[in-house]
Amino acid sequence: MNIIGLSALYHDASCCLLKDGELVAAASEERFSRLKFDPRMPVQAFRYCLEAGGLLPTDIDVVAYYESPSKKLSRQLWAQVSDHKLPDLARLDPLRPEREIRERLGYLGPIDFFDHHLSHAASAYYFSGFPEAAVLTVDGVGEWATTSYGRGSGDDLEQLEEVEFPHSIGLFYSTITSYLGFRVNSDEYKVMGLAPYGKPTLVEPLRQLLISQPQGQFRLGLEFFDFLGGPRMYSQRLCELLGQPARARGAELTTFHKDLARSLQTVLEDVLLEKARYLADRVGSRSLCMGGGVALNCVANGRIAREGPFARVFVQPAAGDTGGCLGAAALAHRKHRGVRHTQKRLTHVCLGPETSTEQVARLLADTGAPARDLRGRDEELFDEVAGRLERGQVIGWFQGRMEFGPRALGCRSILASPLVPDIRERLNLLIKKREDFRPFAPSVLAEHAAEHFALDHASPFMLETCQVISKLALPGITHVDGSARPQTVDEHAHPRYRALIRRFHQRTGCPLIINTSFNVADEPIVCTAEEALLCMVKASLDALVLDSFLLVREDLPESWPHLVATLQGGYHGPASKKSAIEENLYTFV
Amino acid sequence: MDDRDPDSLKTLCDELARKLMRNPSRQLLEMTLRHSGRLRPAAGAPGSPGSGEPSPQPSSQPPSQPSSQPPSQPPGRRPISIWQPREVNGEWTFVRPAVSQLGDGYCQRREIAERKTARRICLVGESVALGFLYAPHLTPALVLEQQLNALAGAGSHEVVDLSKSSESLFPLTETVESALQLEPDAFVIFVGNNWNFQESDTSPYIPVPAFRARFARALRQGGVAAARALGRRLLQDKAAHAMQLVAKAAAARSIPVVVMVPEVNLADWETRQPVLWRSGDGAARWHALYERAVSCLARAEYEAALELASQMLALDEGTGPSGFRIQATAYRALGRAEDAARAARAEVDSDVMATMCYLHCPQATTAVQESLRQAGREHGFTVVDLPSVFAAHSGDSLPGRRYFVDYCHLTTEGMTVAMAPVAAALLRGDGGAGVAGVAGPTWETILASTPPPPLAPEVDAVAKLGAAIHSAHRLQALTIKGELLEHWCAQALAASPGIAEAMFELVELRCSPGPALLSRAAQRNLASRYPLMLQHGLQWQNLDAELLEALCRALEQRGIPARARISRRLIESFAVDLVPSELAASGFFRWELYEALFADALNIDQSRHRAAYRAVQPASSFCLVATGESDLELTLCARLPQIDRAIDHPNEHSNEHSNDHSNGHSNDHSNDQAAPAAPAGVVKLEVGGVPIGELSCGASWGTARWRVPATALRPGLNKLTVRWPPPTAAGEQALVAAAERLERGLAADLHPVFGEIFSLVAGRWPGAAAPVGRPP
Repeated sequence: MNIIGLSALYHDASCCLLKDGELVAAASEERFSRLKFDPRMPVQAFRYCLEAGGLLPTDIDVVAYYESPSKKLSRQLWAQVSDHKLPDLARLDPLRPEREIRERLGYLGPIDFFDHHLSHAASAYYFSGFPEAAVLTVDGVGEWATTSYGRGSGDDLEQLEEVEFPHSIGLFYSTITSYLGFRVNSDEYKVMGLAPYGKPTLVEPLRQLLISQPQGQFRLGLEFFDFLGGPRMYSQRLCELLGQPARARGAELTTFHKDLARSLQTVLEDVLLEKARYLADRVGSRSLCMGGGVALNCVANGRIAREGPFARVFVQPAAGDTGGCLGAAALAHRKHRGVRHTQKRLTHVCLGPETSTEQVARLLADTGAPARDLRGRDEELFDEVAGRLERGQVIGWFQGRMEFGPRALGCRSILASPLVPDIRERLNLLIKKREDFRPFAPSVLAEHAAEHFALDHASPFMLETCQVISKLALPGITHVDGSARPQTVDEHAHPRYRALIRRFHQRTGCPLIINTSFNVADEPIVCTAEEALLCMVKASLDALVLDSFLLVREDLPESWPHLVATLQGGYHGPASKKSAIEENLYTFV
Repeated sequence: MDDRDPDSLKTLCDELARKLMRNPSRQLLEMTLRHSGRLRPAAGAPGSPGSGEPSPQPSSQPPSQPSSQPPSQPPGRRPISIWQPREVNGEWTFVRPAVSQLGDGYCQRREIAERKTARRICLVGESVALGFLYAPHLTPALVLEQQLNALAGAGSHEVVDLSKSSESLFPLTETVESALQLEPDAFVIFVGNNWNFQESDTSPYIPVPAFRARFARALRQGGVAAARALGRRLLQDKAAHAMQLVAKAAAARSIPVVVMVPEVNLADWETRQPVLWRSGDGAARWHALYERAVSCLARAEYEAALELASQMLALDEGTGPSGFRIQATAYRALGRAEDAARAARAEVDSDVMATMCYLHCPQATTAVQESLRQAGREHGFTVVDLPSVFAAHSGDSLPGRRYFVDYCHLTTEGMTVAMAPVAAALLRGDGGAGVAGVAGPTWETILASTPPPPLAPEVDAVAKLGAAIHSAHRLQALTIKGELLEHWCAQALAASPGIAEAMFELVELRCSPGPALLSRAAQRNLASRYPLMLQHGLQWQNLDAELLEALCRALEQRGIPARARISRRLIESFAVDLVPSELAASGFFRWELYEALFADALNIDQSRHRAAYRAVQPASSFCLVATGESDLELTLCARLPQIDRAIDHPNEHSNEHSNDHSNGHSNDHSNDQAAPAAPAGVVKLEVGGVPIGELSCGASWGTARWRVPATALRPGLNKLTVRWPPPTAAGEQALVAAAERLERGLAADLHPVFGEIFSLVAGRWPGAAAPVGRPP
């Protein structure tokens, strides 16, 4: 049975293929269109998934969509009804998902629509490998639900309780993100990274914004919000409550901003922890599955794992809307086959396109870039790269199939040594061109993780923070509060990446390296070898490994940086930043 | 934020949502909300219930205030286009971003200083004014400055070029307003070539629901003619408004304005567009007439072609350009120059932005020209009327490649002739920069007395090669494409034979598997005496079949062996019997490039953001590269689309909408679709004109596999053509369906879509011998 899962038309549109229960392919449209957060019907990701499965549209048995258009329309109408203005039906366009599946994908067969939070829950539970579990999903908003509590049991997944819009933990977090001068639906993770620099001095005022209620419920203090009709998410009352005007984008980050970020994070974690405990009591399980955009808050995840009532926690690696397609596909499999598609845990997300060794060779031959061809000489390649990392170089690492989800896990990564004192500043300011306060995550050999991190279980998807306990000085990956967000690397998922880290370990005694996503600010992670080459030039990486080929920056033609910059700008002048999302406000459409 | 009574309102919204999923009507929404007391009347406001008018869209409105200054700017100055103000030692300078080696859409002048003693003329315009293909070496601004200084004395005049490629109306007015900071003595406005449907605020192809709905209302009320008239009127209103803003800005400082009425290439440019849906089987009959008419032209049967063109125009009511082009070609061949000019002008005027599938070039229609003349009359601008100037200069009413490198951009002679009357006006005094009361030279005198602008032959050659490339991409030809491309290639070689190597480098760029700019060929080219820039088509990601053929012919005519070399290079990169290729998924192998390239000017989502290729002409052609040594396997997955309407009426069949509270509710269109009769027909495939096979096709995807014998192939580039059956005879239904969609703000096709291809894969036939000396 061939099932296509889709999440689309809000942000991070994505597609996956479940073929006889096997997850064959999954990718986000932004990686193909190069439009960050691309919300459009994922036509290129769809084509890719069919190609990966060797299928044509007529081979698809069912398309599973991650949302219920009618329930979403109800919530949108609710949000738009006012005394004198008719909701804009053309803009809400509830028939758009089905219409675009038919017209843009060219698919004529049956479509299954599943609720947004059920899709999140399924994307966590059905891929967790747990025989039973409590399931918690938290995000900004889908249809009505913003938080849901569920129980997975064998093949079945049951939703027990939900919190409805406008009361939303995700919107609470996004509102303060916006107030702090960052982009909504995009930069929440920056606020999370800023938090450790502050003190939780504003927790009490913030508790007026997010008020816990009995059972799984909570409410927002709506007088502090304005996300229904205003041009911004917060009201003037919030500014009065906090005693400061909102920060303008790009303005200096003061102690107040850092304290606010810390307080926000604290309130979030406290509420999530409280509700996780409630869920554990209600379901009676020792296993927790988490999904929804808020489950990408790895600091909160870490606290739940450490302080919560669960023995085992599984966070779906594409926990946001990107991964909604996985859940929808899994639900469709359950519906049509009567059983869950797999009993196994998702162990890797190498589900995207790859560039073959031959294609890389052709690309490099055409450019004339003097690359070292190390095909069949893996040990030499790993030694060369490890040596360069040891010497403080920053290296692009492009191998195999692209990862699905927001994290680069060793397929499309930029690597550096965590031992180099100023590596973080260099990476942030020169390579990634991003804020200097943001930390980098390490990839660590799984068997050595416990020596360096307060972590007693595998963390293959980089979705949880823990304290650094290493005897090594690791300034590159240690956040200001002594925490880190490690990826444990085992033999199964990333053998070549693991071999590289092992070589680095042998050379330096350090079994971990910095791993950050292979992109520059405001661009999606690279998909093809060609994009990796361009990104190397843009980011001034010291070296690039494309499959088994090694390129070194000094060997590249001097004209390339200028040419690449020109390519970015195009004929019509300086490049305008491409992003598919509204930056100040959830659009709710 | 109000804490609205959640329960009762939610119940209402749940119920309303269920109803709207069955019947997504605005009336139902309004009635339900009003009945429930949730909506109170608010008289007359746009966008309010019952007003019938969509809310204003921000995208088309002129700025109400000058753009605000970012905080880092010095007080008292604001940017002029991309030039940012800087104060150095008490003097103001405006500085543009770094100039790229590959060019961009602006003048490359790095700094504009405070005005000194020379008279300062500000030229504001579009890519024509910028000297597209010749810039920065030769531009209308440089020509004008040379002409002025030749007559009035060296250093007497300075022309500041503020032109911008793809300039549109209101940004233009902003540039004029901000350019007052430069204290100009006169403005020269050279615009009108970009005034297409994107400026009209009513179009089925702009992804703004209000624009679509406005178009649909006009269509419903008065048919295609009314929709066209509305588009024309809105554009003229907008242009008039923009010119009023220009006049106001200039009048505030008593600065005279010279406005140039653009002329376009009538002789050598052609435009082909998909015909609109016509009544009954009118679209199919139109295409049959078209085929016959083009054949008549090829056989020099001009009277017959004229008769067929008349029938086409009767069918399409003048909404398409092809009938006029056939007339123009036939009249010209018959020596009826005035008739030919009239038909060619009518072809341009059929642009009616609102109904064109692809961006129509040229765009300076009679209406556009008249708008500019009217602005001259109203505001006292001096008008330089290029149609009259070119006609007087050449004695020919059909201006062509002598003045134009493509549809509107000027040759060196075109620039010289166009700017001479501007110089005359400025020197005469009515442009404000001359000596009042002193009779100045005529433009003919200026042309005769001014030496031709200096131009290196290498620059000329690169510009002409650029003309070939640009024409290959933009020309939507009935008849002349190859001839025109070959002409420009030959002209480039004649200007400077050394450009042959750049031509081979261009082939290498098209064969590059990665970013062409980083290829060895690009590096060689950029270091040569013939560096191609972005404006010359350096970066296009298409195989460019027609251009490659033109290059071959032009090179071989000069005795340079090219065909074998180019074929060998193509085979190395693209031979499908070496590496199988998907030919239809991207635009790379598309034979007709405008199908791939012009979508960027239209509604991208409707035309391009789809999983399948859509054919808007009766035949779709692709580049098939083969060694010619092996039999090939071709696999086609295609279908004949239905009229896009059923999905807009999901109440007939949607379970999603009747079963809201369950999960996994299903909607299966294949079983219960109530729609027009399913299309059916035979799709034919041919390679190099040789029939290969047929596929009986319907509304569902069908797949077929064929063997192409090596004997049907030539080594290198082959043309693979998919011929579609005629479109449905339900023309009225199709147009009504399109109008219904547009009224709801949805994209719609006003023209037939003949077929869709999900996949067209070519590879070596299984078991066929590998090409000799090549890897299996």
